[in-house]
Amino acid sequence: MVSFNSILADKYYKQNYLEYIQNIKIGIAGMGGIGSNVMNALVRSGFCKFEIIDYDIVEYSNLNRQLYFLDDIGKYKVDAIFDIMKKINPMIDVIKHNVMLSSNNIQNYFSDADFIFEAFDKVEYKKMILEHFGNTTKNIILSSGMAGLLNNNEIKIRKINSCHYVVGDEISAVNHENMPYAPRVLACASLMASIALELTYKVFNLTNMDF
Amino acid sequence: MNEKIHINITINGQASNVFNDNTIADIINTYNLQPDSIVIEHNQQIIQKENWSKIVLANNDKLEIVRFVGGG
Repeated sequence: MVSFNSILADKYYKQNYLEYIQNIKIGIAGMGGIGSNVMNALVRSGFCKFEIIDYDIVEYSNLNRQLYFLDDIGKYKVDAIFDIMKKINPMIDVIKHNVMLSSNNIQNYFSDADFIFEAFDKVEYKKMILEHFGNTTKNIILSSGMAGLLNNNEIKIRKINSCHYVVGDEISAVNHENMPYAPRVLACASLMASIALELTYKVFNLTNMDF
Repeated sequence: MNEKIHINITINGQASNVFNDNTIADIINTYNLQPDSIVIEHNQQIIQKENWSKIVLANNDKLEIVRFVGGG
C-alpha cells in the first residue's frame, strides 16, 4: 500500500536512515512563523515524533508568514498545525501542549526531546530555552533576527558548539518599523529544519542518499 | 604587585585579547551588550547571569555570546 512513509523510503531515503529519523523526537517551542514552518519542513522530510508548545490562537495577521489558512482562524495553533500536518503524513505522532511556557513549568516539557527548536517571539522566552536546556546533550536550534524585507543573504546558521545553533541575522528584531514577512521568516525556518537533517545524516554516517 | 597581562581567548569564534583578570561581566561591559538579551556559553557551559562577575577568564577560553532579538 502506498503511503507517505513508503514513498519516502522508496524514493528519497535509505530505509534505515528513514527509520532512524522517524524515531528522533523533535520539540518545537512556539508555533508561529518559525515553528509552523519548521514543522512543515520536518514532517515533509519524514520526521514523525513531535512535542509542540504554543498557547496562542490563529489570527488573520498571522497568515502573511505562518503556515495556517483562513479556516484555521480562531483555532489554537497547536490544534491547527496538527490537522494540517496530518494531511501530509497521517502517521505523525504529536504531543500538543496548549500552554504558555514559563520558568515555572518548563521542566515539564521536552524531557526526552533529541532536538529542541526555539521558535518564540519574545527575547526572554528565547533565552529561557537556551538557559534551561543548554547544559544538556540535546541539540538546540535557536532563531534570532528575521524581521524585515532587506539583507536576505544575512540569514545564516551560526554554530555555537556541537549541539547549539543560532539561525537568523542576529540583528533584525521584529518591531513596529520592522515587521516579519514570509521570505525571511521561511528562510530562517528552513535553515533551522535543515540542521536536523544534516546532524541526523552525519550521525548516520551516510555518504550518499539513494535516489 | 599583580601586573595585568594579556591572554588569548575566543569570542564567537574570533581570536581576542583580554586581560588575565577580566571576568565574563567585564567582556559584556566592554562590548556594551544588553544583559537581558544575551546568553553566555563559557567553554560550552551555559553561565547564568548571576555568575558572570564570578568567572575570571583564562588563556584559550572559549566564550560564545548569543544575542537574541525579538521575532519568531
